[in-house]
Amino acid sequence: MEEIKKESKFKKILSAVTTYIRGHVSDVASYAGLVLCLIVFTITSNGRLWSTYNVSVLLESVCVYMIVSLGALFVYAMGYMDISVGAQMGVYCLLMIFIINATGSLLLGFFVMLVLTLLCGAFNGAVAVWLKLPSIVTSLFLMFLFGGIQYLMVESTGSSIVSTDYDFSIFLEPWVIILSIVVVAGVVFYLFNYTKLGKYTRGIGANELTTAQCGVNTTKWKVIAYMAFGVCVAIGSLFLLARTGSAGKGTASSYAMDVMLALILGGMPLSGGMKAKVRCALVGSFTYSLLSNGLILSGVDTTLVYFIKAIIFMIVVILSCRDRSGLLPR
Amino acid sequence: MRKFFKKVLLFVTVMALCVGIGTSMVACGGDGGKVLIGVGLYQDAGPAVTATKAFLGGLEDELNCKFEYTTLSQTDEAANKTTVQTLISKGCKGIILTMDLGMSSIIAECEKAGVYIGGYLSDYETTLDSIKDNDNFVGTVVDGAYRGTAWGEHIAARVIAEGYKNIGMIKFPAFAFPHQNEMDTAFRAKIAEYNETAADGDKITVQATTTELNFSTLEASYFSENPDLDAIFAMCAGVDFVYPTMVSAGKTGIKLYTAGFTTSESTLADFGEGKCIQELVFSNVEAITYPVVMLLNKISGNEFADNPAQAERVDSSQIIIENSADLELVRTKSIYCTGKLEDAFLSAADVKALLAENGGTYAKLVETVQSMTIDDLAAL
Repeated sequence: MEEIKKESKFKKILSAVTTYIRGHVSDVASYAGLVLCLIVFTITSNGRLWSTYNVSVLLESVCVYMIVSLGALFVYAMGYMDISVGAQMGVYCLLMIFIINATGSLLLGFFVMLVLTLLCGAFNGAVAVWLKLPSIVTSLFLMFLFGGIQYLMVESTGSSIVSTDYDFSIFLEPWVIILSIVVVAGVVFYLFNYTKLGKYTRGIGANELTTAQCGVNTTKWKVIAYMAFGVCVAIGSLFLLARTGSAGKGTASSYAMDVMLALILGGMPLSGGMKAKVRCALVGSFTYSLLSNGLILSGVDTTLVYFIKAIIFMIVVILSCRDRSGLLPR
Repeated sequence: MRKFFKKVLLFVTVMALCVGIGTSMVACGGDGGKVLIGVGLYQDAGPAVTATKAFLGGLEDELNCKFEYTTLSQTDEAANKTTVQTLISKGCKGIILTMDLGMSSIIAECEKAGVYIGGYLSDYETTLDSIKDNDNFVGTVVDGAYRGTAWGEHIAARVIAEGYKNIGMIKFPAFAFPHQNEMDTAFRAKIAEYNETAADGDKITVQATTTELNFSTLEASYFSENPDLDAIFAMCAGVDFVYPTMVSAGKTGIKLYTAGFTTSESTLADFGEGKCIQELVFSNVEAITYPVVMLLNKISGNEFADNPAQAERVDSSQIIIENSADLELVRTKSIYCTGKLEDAFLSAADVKALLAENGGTYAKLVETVQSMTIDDLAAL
């Protein structure tokens, strides 16, 4: 009799675990992905992953991804995306160099960049709504515009690279990087979970029509969401520039796709909605940086790194996006 | 909130476990006492890459080192810094880079980590002045000659001798290859000198403004804009950026003098007397001996008695292929084509003998990387 009781208890636990996993596939997949990366790369890199130097390198590279991804969370939660972010960051870095070289003031450079990011955010959000265009179209326009500006800015100098002698070393100090990530993540966590901004952006992603019919001015919140993203892009660009103190035609070009990949690796549904969480940006950015760093440290040929990343990405997308009907979400 | 703390606790536990395992593995691990040297190349495949890897692979045992390869970005300096950081994380004590994009931050990173940097087939045009006094930079070996004057004059002499009268000019942008301007000027000066004494019917016309290719293949419209060409001097890598357009536009009747090389049989079939391609040039992969030796000297704490006070930019000799016999020689005897270490100008023992600890001198090292011409290949 006791054995039967034990068996039924075990079955109950098993069923509870199975139900939990089924209901939280994306959560489990993203955490499992991160843990798996940590364990596998710790072993395959002969422990080099955790050398003091490599941890500081990881921090440096994860910082930009994490800050930008945290901002992108507001946009992706609405089911939208912004593919202009890479080109924008390239131009902001160049602009900041020009301003710093001309005035010596980092603060002025950052302020100008912040204003521009807010304007671009407002443009991205508002134009898409007013012209009833998919957000990707307006961001595509901005991507080409900023790509062209970036090219012309570098060409105008007659060199392939523009640099500044400004001392950015403070931005590369691990404690500054960690503090910045914690502050940005804290603010985003608060905004996303405890304010109208987070609730409405997730609401728009879940069902825009219902959200609008509940009396929410969706246009206004879309613009605000894009502007919030802009603030994070400005901070991310500052840290990116601090890494090298220089910028060129290709600076940040891969960030648009990298941020999207990081969010998806973190379990962010492409359709946005209520399953969008701050941890998608945190876990995803860390996993993405870890993948790039860990694969090389493990001795994987650089020609295979993209291929392996693509396979891992595909597996995570299939695992995290598959809904109960067995179909990928829209 | 409790859930959140549980997650944080779990994450911290996993991290702590990994750090613990990792630290103990670092303590136990190693590369068998071999010195690790990173090599950042500008592309990840192709005959030059294969030959470079074959040459360096053959040096590993003799020099007790191991080479780690990676690919650099030609446009993103932050990506290059990340690449260098990863090489340092892997344990590289020296790094060879084929470009200087992002160099100021890279050299600062190397200083911090106690790692040395050397250049290969790159003139470090934009950064050499600022890093030549840096103790962590050992110098660079150029892709051929730093000054392009000699080759420009050489091609002009060939064009004059072979009797072509209408010459097209193509090059890469000056910001990336400033010395192609020198080639251009030297070529034009030599032709102008010839025209001064030539009869009216023998004068040579050179395209007024040199066409710049922004690292993309030549547009077919080039031939309608320059309809009467009988030869083209492509200072850029013409086999990749000019010749394909000549083929697709049906203009292979025009003669092509260009830098660069290919192992593509279909392209090489169009080389030689009476065919389209008249001249090919490539740098020897063995030129990498310069940064390898300089880095190993630094890492082992040895120095040449005649070591220069500042890190230098050193020219390397190139293989200039002017006729079918030269091409055949390269195809059968050069490591660039065969991929075999035994076809290299230098054996592992030769390279070892160049090290300071084995009595090598800086003058001998420089002389070695400048003594690898087509004549030297024939004499091997």
